[in-house]
Amino acid sequence: MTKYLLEIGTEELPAGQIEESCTRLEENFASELREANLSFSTMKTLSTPRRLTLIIDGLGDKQETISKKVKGPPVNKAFKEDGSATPQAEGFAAKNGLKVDQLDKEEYGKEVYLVANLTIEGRAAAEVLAEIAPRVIHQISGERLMRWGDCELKFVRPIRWIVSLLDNRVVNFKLDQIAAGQTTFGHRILAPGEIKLGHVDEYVEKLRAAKVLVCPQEREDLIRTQVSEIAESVLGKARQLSGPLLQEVVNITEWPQAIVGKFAEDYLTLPDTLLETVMVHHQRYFPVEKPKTTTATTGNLLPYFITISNNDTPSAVSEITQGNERVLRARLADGKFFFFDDQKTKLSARKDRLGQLTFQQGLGSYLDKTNRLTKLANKLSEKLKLEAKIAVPFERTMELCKLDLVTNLVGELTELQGYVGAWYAELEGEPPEVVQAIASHYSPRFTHEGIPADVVGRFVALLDKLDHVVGLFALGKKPSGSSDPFALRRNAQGLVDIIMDGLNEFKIDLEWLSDELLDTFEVMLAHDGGEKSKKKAFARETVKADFADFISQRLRGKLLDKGFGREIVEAVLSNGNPLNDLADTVARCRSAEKLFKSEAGITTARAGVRIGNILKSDSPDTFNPGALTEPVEKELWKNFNEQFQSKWEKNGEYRRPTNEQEYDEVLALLAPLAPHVDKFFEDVMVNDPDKAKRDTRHGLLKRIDQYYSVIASFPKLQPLLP
Amino acid sequence: MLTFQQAIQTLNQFWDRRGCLILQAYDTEKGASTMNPGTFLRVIGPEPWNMAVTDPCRRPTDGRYGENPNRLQHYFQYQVILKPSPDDVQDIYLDSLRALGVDPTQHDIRFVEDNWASPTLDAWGVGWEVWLDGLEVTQFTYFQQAGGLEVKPVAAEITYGLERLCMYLQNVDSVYDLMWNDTVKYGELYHHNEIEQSRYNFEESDPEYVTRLFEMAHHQAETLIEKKLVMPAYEQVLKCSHNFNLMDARGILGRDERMGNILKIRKLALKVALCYLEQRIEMGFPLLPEAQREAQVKLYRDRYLTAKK
Repeated sequence: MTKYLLEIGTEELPAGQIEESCTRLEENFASELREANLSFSTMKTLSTPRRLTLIIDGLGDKQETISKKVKGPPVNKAFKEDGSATPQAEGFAAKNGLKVDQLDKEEYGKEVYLVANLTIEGRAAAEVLAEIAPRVIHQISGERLMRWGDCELKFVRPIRWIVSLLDNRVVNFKLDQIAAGQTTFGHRILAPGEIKLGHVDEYVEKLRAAKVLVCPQEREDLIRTQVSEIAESVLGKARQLSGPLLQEVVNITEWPQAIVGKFAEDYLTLPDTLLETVMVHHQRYFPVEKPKTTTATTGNLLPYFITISNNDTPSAVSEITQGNERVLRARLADGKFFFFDDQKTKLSARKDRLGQLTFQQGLGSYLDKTNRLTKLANKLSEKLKLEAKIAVPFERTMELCKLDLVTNLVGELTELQGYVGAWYAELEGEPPEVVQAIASHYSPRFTHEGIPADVVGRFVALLDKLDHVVGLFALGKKPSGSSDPFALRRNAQGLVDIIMDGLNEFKIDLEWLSDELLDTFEVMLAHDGGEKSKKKAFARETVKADFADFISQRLRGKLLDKGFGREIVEAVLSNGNPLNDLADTVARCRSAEKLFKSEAGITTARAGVRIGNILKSDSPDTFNPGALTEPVEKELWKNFNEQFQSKWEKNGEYRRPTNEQEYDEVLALLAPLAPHVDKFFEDVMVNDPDKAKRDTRHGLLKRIDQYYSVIASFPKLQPLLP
Repeated sequence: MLTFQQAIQTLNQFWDRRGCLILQAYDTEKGASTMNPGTFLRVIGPEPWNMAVTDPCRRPTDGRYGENPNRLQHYFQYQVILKPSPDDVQDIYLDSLRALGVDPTQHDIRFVEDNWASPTLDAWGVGWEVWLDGLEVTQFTYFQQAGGLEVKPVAAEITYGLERLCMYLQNVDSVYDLMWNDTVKYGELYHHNEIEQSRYNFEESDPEYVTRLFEMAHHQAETLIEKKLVMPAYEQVLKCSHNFNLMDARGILGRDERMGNILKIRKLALKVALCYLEQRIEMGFPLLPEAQREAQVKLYRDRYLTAKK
């Protein structure tokens, strides 16, 4: 089986771009090969910080041979009277590399044409690869491209060599001044010499001998094993052994070796998160925790760290350890200094500084944000009639939660925002609910972190994220395509998650909340400032519609994630105003879904679908029961009244069910009506030519439909009916 | 063990042997050696340029009253510019560490992604911070743009943090414990300076005075640019920048004002950069090999001089 190896040798690539570059290398090469009709069986990529590699297996020797038919001039114009070919026919033949007598004749429509039946021999694989490889290299470079030296190329980092081998032969090509060949390089420091590859199959092992593990998965496994073992050796457990830190260290090493270091136990009195952030974000170390941890913010770590060195020379270990220990010591000393120095200024004394910190150009400072959200928290508490034990810490947290942005510790370690505020608030004697909410209100901070664990934190996070999303929409900065510089998608998703998973017992009206914010923004963004300005700061209705659409998309995804069927979700989102009460939207989904679990339910749903399908937007809401003439009409009306009178139709007034239990109850009452509905549809013509009769019948059905459509748009559920 | 001054000498010798000009420090306050005209201006245009310099830098807001063991408002950068960037530039850099007595095989040396951009100078580049056993000792940047102009050929900028590097070499935890020579410590020379300058930067500088200095330098720079006096104009731009930093340290800048001033400096920097380029075109790019001058002058003249009229 023929194999092809392409290695792009570079200076150290940004860790975060390696995986993506490999994907592009593989995908683009595969599509070029398909385009070129050059077959292959498998393809894989390998990578280190200094190389992106593609290995293709089972490559065809040459392109597939292609038969092609080219239509020429009509026969009657191809030959002169004496039977010799016209210049037109000669020309056509020549163009296709044939003689006139090698052409065929074929009928198209009613006319016969000259046809050239061509067989295109495929070119040798090497020839084709030499064209494809440089093209693909140009296509894989990432977002921020650079130039180097005098070279005209652009790539993520300078390209220093290229290996291009087909089994044991070099596939020659040149990329600017760089000629592809069979020479690669080992570890920059431990084995810096040239390595000549005689065959593709030598690649992985020859590099291993030169202290390069070219397979990222192998490096990852090795790192994980080494780190776990070392952590055990100091009677602890490694933290962060999955996720971004591991991915990063895999991509900044070619020959990883885990090394353990120690720091002074004094620092264990600092909050764990502070220690962990310094170790992880600044130094790419794995922290080590005690075998048994508690929920306390301090005291769960051991005074060790594990670093992944790119050098396994035994004699180097002690220098490397000491060096890293000294760096960490200095960092922790800094952190400790700021931690105690900051405490000299109370959080509440930092308001002036917060007023100097811009939130968004046009939307004022973080102090402005704090003030408007504190007011809004107060209004929301009143609207929801929140009990004091939530409302009071909610407003207090809103006042305090951004003040740590102007502390020195957050200035140094921005990842600690929220946590720092919480530590200082606790030291200043704020109640535990406030402390917890200040820390939690940024959650989910990353994709797999959950929503805040506490109700107060959820309320604060709700307003914080909503303000961010609505504010940027008002500024006209909604995301487009894949570009989302303000992380609006993540914030909107957090918003939906928090309401649906964390505040479902409250009736959160997103429309009302966003209206409140837009009122404020309108004043701030009006062109000439003042409240009396007549100029509109932004097209409010458009912003609202865009925002609603943006949230609905997240809501739809969320409901599908929760396992509701696509039809159920669409039917529920079509009716009512889902943004006014997300918890209600979930309740409706649940009730609708339960319906399809039983025979009786399905019959109920079928009746709902039939009714929904026949009603029109102009169907009257009321009717005169006295005008019902047919027995089956009267029967339906009588049964409806019997079912609904006791609880739902007192004095003939419709009462809206408002929670899952009530939706279920209403659907249960509709069940016995279903046979009467079926009979009604069989016996009477609903759309009677007589307008009075038609209106009466529509009115009757509309009365019943109210109890269906409050839950969902039933016609949309039709596909679910057996 | 190398003293601070020996480390500088070693680097001077090393880069001298590699064909660099060894320049003396530039005498106007600047936040980083990148602002030395030997970097900011010389990377512009097609002429080759290889130099090394030990530059004092000032960042008023980084003052810590001499209390922090590794943060100062006045410190030294050892700056190297290699234009065009050689193909083996990373290996040359590793050799410079060997010259300082750091054997890379006995350490963990890493090139970790770090890109650089200066809104004030409308300049950017990509590169790494170099880690020596977890300590960032050098910034390594491929200059892509300076003063709004494309840097072509690309210059490699290698910036050693001298204090950090020497703290590592001398195995001390505080910058003030560094041996400058065999008998005198860094602290003797600069500790008191840090205390006093921190007080000046944060407490004693007269807000009105530094604001006026900023405005005057700004005005002077504009006038000098009009007159095509590149170096005097550039000095005033640097003075603008330094006085802006002083205003920042004193906490007297509102947020809009802050951004406004950054934009003002940037505008000046762009003008000076272009002025410098024009001047070099007029001079016929004297640092280029003679055979290339005519063609390059024509190319640049067409692009930058004719297009303007």
